[in-house]
Amino acid sequence: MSKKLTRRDFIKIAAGATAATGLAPVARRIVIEPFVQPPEETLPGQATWYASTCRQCPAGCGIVVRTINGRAKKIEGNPLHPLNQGKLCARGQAGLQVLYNPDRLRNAVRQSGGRGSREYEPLYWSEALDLLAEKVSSLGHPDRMAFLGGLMPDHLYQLTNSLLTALGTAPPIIYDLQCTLEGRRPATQLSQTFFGTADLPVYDIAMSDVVFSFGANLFETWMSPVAQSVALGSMRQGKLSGRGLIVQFEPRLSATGASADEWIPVRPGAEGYVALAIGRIIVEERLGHVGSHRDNAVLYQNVDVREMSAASEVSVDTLRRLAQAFADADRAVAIPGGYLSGQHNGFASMLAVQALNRIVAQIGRQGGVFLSTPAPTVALRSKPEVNTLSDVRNLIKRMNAGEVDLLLIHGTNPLYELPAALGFAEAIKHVPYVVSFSPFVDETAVWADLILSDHTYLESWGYQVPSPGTDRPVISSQQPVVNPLYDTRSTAQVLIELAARLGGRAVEAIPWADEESYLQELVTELYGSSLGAFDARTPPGFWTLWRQYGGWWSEKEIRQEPETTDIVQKPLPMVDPQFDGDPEEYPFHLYPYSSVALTDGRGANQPWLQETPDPMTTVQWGIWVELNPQTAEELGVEDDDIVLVESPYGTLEVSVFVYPGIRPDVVAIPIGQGHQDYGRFAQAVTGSNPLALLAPITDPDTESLAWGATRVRLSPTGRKKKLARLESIDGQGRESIG
Amino acid sequence: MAKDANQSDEGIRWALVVDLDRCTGCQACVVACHAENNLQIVGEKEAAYGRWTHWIIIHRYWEGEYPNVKARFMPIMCQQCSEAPCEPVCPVFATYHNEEGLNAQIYNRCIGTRFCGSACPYKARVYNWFRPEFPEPLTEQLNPDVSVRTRGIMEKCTFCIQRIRRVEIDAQAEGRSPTDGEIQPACVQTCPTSALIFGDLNDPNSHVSQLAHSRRSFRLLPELGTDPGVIYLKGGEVNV
Amino acid sequence: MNRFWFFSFLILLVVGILTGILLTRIQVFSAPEQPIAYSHKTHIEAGIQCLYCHSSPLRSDLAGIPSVKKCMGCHNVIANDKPEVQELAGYWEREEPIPWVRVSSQPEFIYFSHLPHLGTGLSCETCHGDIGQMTVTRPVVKMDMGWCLDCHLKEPQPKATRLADCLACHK
Repeated sequence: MSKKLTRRDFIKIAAGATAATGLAPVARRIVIEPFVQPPEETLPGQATWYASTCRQCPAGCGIVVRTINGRAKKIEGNPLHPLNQGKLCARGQAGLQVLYNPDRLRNAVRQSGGRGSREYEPLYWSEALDLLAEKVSSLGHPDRMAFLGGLMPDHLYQLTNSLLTALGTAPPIIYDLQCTLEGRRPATQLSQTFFGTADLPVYDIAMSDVVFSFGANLFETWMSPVAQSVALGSMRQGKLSGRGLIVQFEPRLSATGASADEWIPVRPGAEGYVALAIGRIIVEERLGHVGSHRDNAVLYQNVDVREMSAASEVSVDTLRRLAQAFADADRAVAIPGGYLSGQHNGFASMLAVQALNRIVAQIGRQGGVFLSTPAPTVALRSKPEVNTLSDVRNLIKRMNAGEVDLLLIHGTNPLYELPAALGFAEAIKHVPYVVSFSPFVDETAVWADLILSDHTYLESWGYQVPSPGTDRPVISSQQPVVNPLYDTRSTAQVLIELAARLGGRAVEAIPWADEESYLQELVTELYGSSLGAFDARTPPGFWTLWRQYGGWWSEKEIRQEPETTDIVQKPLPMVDPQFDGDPEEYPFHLYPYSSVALTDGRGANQPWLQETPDPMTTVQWGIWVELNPQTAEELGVEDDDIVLVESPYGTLEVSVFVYPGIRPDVVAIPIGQGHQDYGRFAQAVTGSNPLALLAPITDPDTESLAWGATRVRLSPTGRKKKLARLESIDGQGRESIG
Repeated sequence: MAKDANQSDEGIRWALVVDLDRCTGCQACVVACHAENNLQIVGEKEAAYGRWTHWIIIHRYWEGEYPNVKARFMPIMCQQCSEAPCEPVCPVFATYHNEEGLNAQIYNRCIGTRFCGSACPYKARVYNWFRPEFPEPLTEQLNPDVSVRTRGIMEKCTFCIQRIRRVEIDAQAEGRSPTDGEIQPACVQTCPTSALIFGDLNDPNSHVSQLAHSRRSFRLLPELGTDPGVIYLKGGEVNV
Repeated sequence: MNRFWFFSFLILLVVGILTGILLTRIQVFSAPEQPIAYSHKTHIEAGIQCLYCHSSPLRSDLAGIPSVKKCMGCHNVIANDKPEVQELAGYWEREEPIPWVRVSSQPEFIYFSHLPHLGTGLSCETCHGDIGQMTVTRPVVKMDMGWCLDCHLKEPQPKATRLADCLACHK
C-alpha cells in the first residue's frame, strides 16, 4: 500500500550517562515517512472527513469519519443526515473497534484442521474464489445450496438475490437476532395488515404530547434509537406546545422506561389487553376531542375492561386515568414495540396498540403515525426483508435431511443467535460444505470450511434506505473511509467475481465489473431528481456529491400518510398469551433483553462497548440476572450470588442483580455475552449465552420467535461472583453522591 | 481568541449544561469520550475494583419501591469548579485553574499522589492504575491530539480541550471568533437527545448562559462552594 | 575511610551528570543522519520557496514532508545524474516512502500547530534557523518549554497570559 503513515518508529535513548543520572533523554530519532503518492484530499496532519453509513445495527444512521493520514480516528454523526441529525449512539461511536479489531481475519482462510479445529490456512483470493466456484458448479441441483444472511446493505442483497435467482437457488434467508428482538418482521406484517403496505411506520415522537410505548425500548436498540432519541429531546424540552409525557408499559423497567414519566409493570403477554382496555374506555366513555367514536365501537365490542384489568394486573383506575390522558392529548401516539412481538400472542397485542392511534385519529397526523417514505426509484427499493423463524426452521430441517450441500452465511451468527433448542449446531454438521463471509471467527464461522472474510463497514461500499425512515425519502450511502487494512474482500465483489467465474446466466444476472460500478449505475438514477437536497450538473458530479453528503435525501419533508385497511371494521383479536414451561415447575417469566451496548451480541468484541456500563445496572463486562427484591428474598439470594437458571431447554449460571424495577414474577437477563468464539474481548467474559434457555416457540400469526415466552426456575448455588459495577457496593472509593 | 465587543470583561468561562429531562442514560457520551480522549480499557476484573477510567459516567438512582419505582440518570464528569478542591492539594501544581474556567491537568507534571482524587467531592477524577494496552492495530484508533497517559497519572474530563483549541485556531485563521455552539466536546457532539450543551457562560447570549438562568437549573453540592462549571437542569418539569 | 568513598562517589556522580548534560547538548544540536544526503542550501539557492515543498503549514498543524512524487516532479529531469537523486529515483521505482529522520520535534505530550505561528507573522527561520545555508540540516535551538515561553511571554497582555497557560500547548 502506498499510503504509508508518518510514524514515530522508535526512540533511542541518548547517552548512558543521561539515563544513569535520571536526566530526560532529549535527543530522539524519529522516522517520518511521507506518502509516495499523496491521496488528493489529504493534507499531512490535517483531518479529512468522509461521510458514510453506520452498520452497527440496521437503523442506517449517517456518519462522518475523521481520518488523519489515511487512518480513521473518530466516528461522528453526519449533521446533514435527516435521520440521526449529527447524533450517534454508543455502538456507532465504537465502530472504529470493528475496523481495528485485533481479532479480525486478515485473509481468506480455509480451516485446515477440519471444521471446528480453529486452525486456519490463508488462501489467495483467486484460489478461494476458484474453490467457491467449483463448489457452486458441482452442486447436483441449485436447490442444494442455501444462503443465510443478516440484515445486509441493500446493494449486497440485490446482488445476492440476482445471483441466486439466476442460479435457480431460493432467495437468501434473512434472519438475525437484532431483527428478532426488535420485531422487524412482525412490524412489517402489522403495517401490511393495518395499512396495506410493507413500509414500516414512523412514530412522530418529536411532535407528540403523549407517547404510550408498549415494550418498545425506544432509546436503546429498537428500530432507529438515535432518531427516536433526537425526537425525545425535542418532545421533552424543544417544542412550543409544552413538555411531552411518555408512559412505558413493560414488565421490566428498561432504560427507556426510566426515561419515561410513568412505568406500568404489565404482566408479560398482557400488553395487548391494556391497549384494548384503554381503547374500550376511550370509545365507550367518548373521551377526548375526536368528534365521534361510533365508527370505532366495533373494534372493542368484545372487550371487558374488568377482565382486561385482572389479566394485565393494571387497575381499572389506572387504565381510566391513562385512557383519559391519551384521549385528551392534542397529539398522542401509541407504539407497539419489540417485546410485544416476542410474545406468543404478539401480533394480536400489536394490532391492539396500533388501533389506539386510530381511535384518537392520529394516523397520518402530526405527532402520530406515518409510514417510512420509500426510495424514489424502483431499483433502489429492493431491500432485504426479514424471514420468519419457520423459514429458518425449514432450512434446519433440510440441513438435517442432507438436502443442503453448500451453505453460505453472511452477517449473521446463527450458532450464537438462534435458540440452542432449534438445533442449528447439529444441523450444520450435516452440511458438507459451509462458507462464511464473517470478518471475525464467530461461533458459526468456526463450523465453516472456508471463510471469505468481508471488509468491515468502514472499508466497504454500499447504500441503505433506512427503514423505519424519517419524514422524507432518505438513502444513506456507504463508502470506504480508509483503504482496506488487510487482504479481505467485500462480499459484493466476491459475488461479482464468482458470477464471472460461473459464467452463463450468473454473469448475465450480475455483469458489473465491480461493486462500485454497480452502485454508481444504481445511484445515478437519482441524478436530475428535483427533490434532492443537492444539485449536480453531471452524473459523475452526482456520484461525487452523493459520497460527500453521505447519501441522497429530499430537501423538503415528504411524509407518507397511511390509510387503514378494513381490519378496523371488525373486532380486534384477543389472544391469551401462552408460555413454554409449566408454571408450577417454572415459576418465572424469562425476559431476555438486548443490551444497550452489545445489542444482540455483535458488539461483544469491541472493548469500548464491553467497558461501557449498562445504564440500569452500571455493570461492565458482565452478565447477570435481574430479580425483584422480593423474589431475591424468597430465594434467599442477594447481589452477586450465583444462581442456576433452568428452563425446559437449557441452564445457565449467572450472578444476581437485585433490581427494584422488575415484576416479582419476571427475571431478566441481558443478551450479548456468553461467546465461545468471536475474539478475545468477547471471550473475556465468563458466562453462557442466555439463548440456550429459550423455547423455540413462535407467535402463530407472524411465525416469529416468541423470545419472551419461556418460563424458568431459579435455584441458589451458594457461590458468588462479583459484578463489575460502577456503583460501589463495598464502599471502595466511588460512592454515589447527591 | 479575539473578544467581541458585547462580551463581558471577564473573558470566557467554559460551561456545560446537562439537561436531565433529556438524558436517557444511553451511554453514547461515554463511548464518544473513550474514542476522543484515548482512555484506557481495564477489563472486567479491574473494573470490579473501580479502576475503570471513564471521564463521564452516568449515575443511576433508584427512587421508591416496586411497583412505584423510578430510576433517574445523572451524568457526572469533572465539574470544572472555580473553587476547585483538587487544585490546592496538588503538591506539584499539576492541576490548576486556567483563565477560561478550565480545571487543567498537566499529565507530565503529575506524580500520582492521588490527593486531588481524594479531594474531589464529585469523584470525577480517575487514576491510571496500569500502563494502557492497545493490542495492535487498536493503536490506530488513538487520537493524535490527545496524549496517551501512562501508569501512575491522574486524569479527568478536560471539556475536550483539544476540540476547543482546534476550533479556536481554525476560527483565528479565518479571522473570526468561534460562534456559540461551534465548539462541541465529543460527548456534546454525539448526545442523541441533545441533553448536553456547551458554551461560554460569561457570554449572556450563549445558549448555556440562557439555560443556566432557567428555573430548572441547579449545581451539584452547592453547599461546598465549589462553583462548578457544570450546570444541571432538573428533569420532569416544563421549561420556559 | 567511609568519607573517602562517599566523596569519591559524589565526585563521580557530579562528573556523570555534567557529562550527561554535555552529551545531551551535543546530541540536541547534532544533525541526524538522513537516508539521502539532502541539502536545503542547494534547493533554496535554486530559488525554491520553503512552501513549495513543505506545503501545508498555512492550512494544517504540520508543515508536511514532501511526497516522493513531489520530489520526482522536478528530479525526473533535473540533476538526475547525481547519486542522491538516483537514490531518490530508487525509492520512487520501489514505491517506497523515504524514511527521513525528524530534525525538529516536539514531545508526544505537546500540541503544536504551525498554522497559528505563521498566522502571527513568524517566518520559518525564526525557529528553524537559517536553513537556506545548511547543506546538512540540523536543529539550531533546543525546542524546550523555556524556549517556547520566551516568545509567548513577550506577547502583549492578555495574549501573553493565554499563551502561557499550560493548556495552550500541553495536550
